[in-house]
Amino acid sequence: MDRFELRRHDYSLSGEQRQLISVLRDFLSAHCPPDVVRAAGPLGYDPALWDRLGELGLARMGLPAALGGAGASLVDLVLVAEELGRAAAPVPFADHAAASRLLSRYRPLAAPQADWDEPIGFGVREPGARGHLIPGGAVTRSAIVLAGPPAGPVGSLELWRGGQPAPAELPLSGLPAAWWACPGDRSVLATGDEAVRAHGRARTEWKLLTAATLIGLAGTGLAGAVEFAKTRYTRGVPVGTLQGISHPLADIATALVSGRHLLYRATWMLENEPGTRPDLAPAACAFAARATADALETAVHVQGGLGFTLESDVSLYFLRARGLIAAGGDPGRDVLEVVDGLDAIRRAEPASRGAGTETKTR
Amino acid sequence: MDFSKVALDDGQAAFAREVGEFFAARVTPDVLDAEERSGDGFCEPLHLAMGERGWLLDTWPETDGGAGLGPVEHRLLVLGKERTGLPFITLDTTRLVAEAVRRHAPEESRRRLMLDAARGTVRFCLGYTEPEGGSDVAAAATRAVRDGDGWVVDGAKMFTTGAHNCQYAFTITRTNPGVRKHKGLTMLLVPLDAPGVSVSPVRTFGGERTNIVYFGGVRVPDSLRIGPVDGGWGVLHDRLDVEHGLGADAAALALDPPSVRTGYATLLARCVDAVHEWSLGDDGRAVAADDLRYRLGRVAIEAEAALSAPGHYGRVAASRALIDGTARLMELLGQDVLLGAEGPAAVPLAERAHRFAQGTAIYGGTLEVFRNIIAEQDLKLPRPSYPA
Ligand SMILES: Cc1cc2nc3c(=O)[nH]c(=O)nc-3n(C[C@H](O)[C@H](O)[C@H](O)COP(=O)(O)OP(=O)(O)OC[C@H]3O[C@@H](n4cnc5c(N)ncnc54)[C@H](O)[C@@H]3O)c2cc1C
Repeated sequence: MDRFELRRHDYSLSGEQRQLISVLRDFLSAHCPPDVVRAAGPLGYDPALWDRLGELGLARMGLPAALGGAGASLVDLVLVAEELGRAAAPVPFADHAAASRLLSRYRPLAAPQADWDEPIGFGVREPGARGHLIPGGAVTRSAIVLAGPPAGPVGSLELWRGGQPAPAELPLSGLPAAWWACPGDRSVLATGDEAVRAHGRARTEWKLLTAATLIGLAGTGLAGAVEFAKTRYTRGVPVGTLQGISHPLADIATALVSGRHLLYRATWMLENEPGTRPDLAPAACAFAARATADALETAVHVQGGLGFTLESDVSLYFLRARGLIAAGGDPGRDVLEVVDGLDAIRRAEPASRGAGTETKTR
Repeated sequence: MDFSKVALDDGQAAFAREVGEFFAARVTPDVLDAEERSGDGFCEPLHLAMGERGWLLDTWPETDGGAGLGPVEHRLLVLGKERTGLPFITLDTTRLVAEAVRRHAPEESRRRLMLDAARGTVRFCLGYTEPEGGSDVAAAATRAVRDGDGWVVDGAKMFTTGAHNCQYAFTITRTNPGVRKHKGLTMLLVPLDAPGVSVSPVRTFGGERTNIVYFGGVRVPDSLRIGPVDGGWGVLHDRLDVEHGLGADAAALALDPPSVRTGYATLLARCVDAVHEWSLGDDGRAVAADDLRYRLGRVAIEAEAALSAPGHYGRVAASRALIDGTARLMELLGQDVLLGAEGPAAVPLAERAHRFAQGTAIYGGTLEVFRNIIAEQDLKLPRPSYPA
């Protein structure tokens, strides 16, 4: 890989993107304060909030105009997911965005228009003993899964409707996950390599959107901890003046800014130059998972005993983040995929050896 | 948002080739070996050859000794330099000080200093840190006392990197001990060949050579004062990056990496690439066990995150990633190859980077100083109260 190629490093948001964020942020601060998140209970779903977001156009944002969508880019969807994460909004946005985009490629007109507004679940991982884990599957009536012989190579991308999913509960995580084993009704969207490829792309989209949700959650956790550190006093000084408090906060701020930027770059590359940097999307996801967990641990700890109570807002974010990370499966897999991506880049290079033999100094 | 490859017009493509050929011809194995032995961060023939082309202060107009490069050509030149793997420490310090000279030097010396710096015959090093400490820059104790039409300087500077290859040290001096510490500082260019100056080497385990410089009654003409008397703090806090002068159009092109320290992250990424190369078989297929691939993947992720980090966050992220990442790579490569068993080419690169990494936490402001900046400026946490 040529690390010295002349590329742009433009992380800035367009005027429209800034506008989108500010509308959404205003909306969520009015309609999704922490008590709404709490009221969504262990299921972590607020159907009224979902409908309201649908009225703003969020449910169809990533769909083509023919389906009433806005044809939003994946980068735009990532920005939306980050805002939803910031508010810990109890809605299955990542599932729905990934699944509905996938579905729209195979069923552009089959479903009645209204269906696109209803949340669709997405089976992000291979099936296990209890079936397919659908992160939002406890509150969706349909889901897309990659089914097929358990060990065989042939996949079958299917739309499942109306099964009787079994709840998959991580204590206090507010993750509306369920195991879907047998659908009431199944229709095949694609088979074989095509199914595996299409599912893989949607899976990457789900992971990027979830990484964005995590970064948003962690950002709110950090902001709360910073506020606390400004106003909590010990021995006559705000605890935030103590470097045992301020330096860990500076480090998590650093990790979150880095993670957000990496996520933007990975998403942009996937969308605009798929194949150039296959290592970046899994890198962004693995980094976000770890940075979020670290950040929320710190944010809890900075607030002393209060951070550990169920009443604290940070406990909500802490538990929710753990649920979302679990939904995506072992983040260690992402780490290995990063190296698979490096392999692919290396294979695509001409016969001359890469960076390893370039020059021998620092 | 835009991370695309920049399309070059014919002139730019030709310039890119010229840069590639220039460095390929001059950065020979001998030059690399010499740098490794000396730790100078400087190669005089290369420096002078760049000066001949106006490539030292490349964005300055040709009338000032530069090459009048536009933003794209400037970035191509920077990337060409970085690709060599050589440290250009003395060039970097010279550029910084040259910009201060251009903005703040008195008329009688300004033009000559600018032209000589651009040509390469005059080099500048930074005399900020003192033996008693570097983080609290404003506490500098080196005295400069008015004497006729000049100054007499007494004191010592520590870690004056490149002083033995430079003509002047851009020196923080205390000219007024009677006022608050930030208000009594003046910047002087102390000639390093003046009577009373002595330069002694200090070596680091990262391979760098730096210096301790003593000033005993050194006479400095007032024409080498950079900026107002007692106004040194303002000169230091002027944004002195030369590229700043390229203006808003250049900024809109977003050609610069997000932080000034992404170089540390690039170094880590190169180590990752080298270790990855080693982990592959000759046919490019992965041969390493999942365990090794996992450990390599973790370092690759840290490198990419650090490459993405903006501004002063990038300073913290890149240095931490390099320190931690190279340590993990050392473990991964195996202890026997470190101890001299037959090993891959990745070993010397990563081993050197691992030692070099430790210094990145220190110079240019330590990590703790930058964490303080993030806490105060970005998070708006209250400042600790310091007695002095
Ligand atoms: C290889 C190398 C090259 C260098 N080149 C140059 C050069 O060319 N010119 C130059 O002027 N200097 C140079 N330096 C010096 C460098 O800038 C200083 O080492 C640095 O600023 C730290 O100063 P110090 O070493 O005196 O440590 P100190 O300032 O004494 O600090 C000691 C420790 O205390 C911590 N600390 C200090 N203040 C705070 C605070 N407010 N909050 C929390 N922790 C704090 C520091 O992080 C550090 O860990 C170089 C250093 C090295 C290693």
